[in-house]
Amino acid sequence: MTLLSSLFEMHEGKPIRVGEQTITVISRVLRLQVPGMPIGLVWNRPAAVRVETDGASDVTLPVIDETRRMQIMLLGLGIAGSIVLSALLRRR
Amino acid sequence: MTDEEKPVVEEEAQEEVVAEDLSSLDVIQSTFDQFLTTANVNAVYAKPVRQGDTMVITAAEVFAGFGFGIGEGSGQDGDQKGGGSGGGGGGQTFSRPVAVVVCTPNGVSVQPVMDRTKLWMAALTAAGFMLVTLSKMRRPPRGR
Repeated sequence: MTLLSSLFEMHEGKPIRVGEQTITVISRVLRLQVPGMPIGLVWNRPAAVRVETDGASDVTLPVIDETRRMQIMLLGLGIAGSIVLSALLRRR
Repeated sequence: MTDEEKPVVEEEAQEEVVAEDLSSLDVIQSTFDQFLTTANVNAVYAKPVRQGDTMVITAAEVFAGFGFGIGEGSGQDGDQKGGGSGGGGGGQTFSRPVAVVVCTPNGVSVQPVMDRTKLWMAALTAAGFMLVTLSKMRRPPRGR
């Protein structure tokens, strides 16, 4: 888990001023590169939005990938469902 | 062409080959550098769009993969010598919208973007898993 988290880099964008609020967008990047060779992959996804309001504390809003979450849930449901079904039918 | 001139011509040809190799390496390097810019935060978040008091920033997931390889070889068949080199590469980039950041005077909110096609595909795959398991378990065993 520590190794995985160390592979990810957090990148911050320039702060954007909107009225009394300052917004900073944050992305999480996984960058894998073969040393000395032009081979690699980059997986960049939105991580969070930090909102600083004048005279108030900072709030960090996470950017959740609902589609990915639902996909994993549905596929997990399919695997779990097939395991339960096979267990039930073997008992008969 | 005299024998004295021949080596000069060969040297020039070799220089041209080296120059071509260098330029192709430059192209590879610049392509790879461009590919690495997808790691930038600006690749994920679009430019803010303002409409009155409201500002919208779209956020997308970006994936990029790139690879290149080169090789060379030479051989001798009797008196004849030969050699060659070659290279090839490829890459792919795709992006998918994930969320929209909406900033209003009342506050900031992150609205998720749901891809219904992907969800239907996942649901059908899950149903397929269960149906295949069910049909396999209901089928009478062979040889009885």
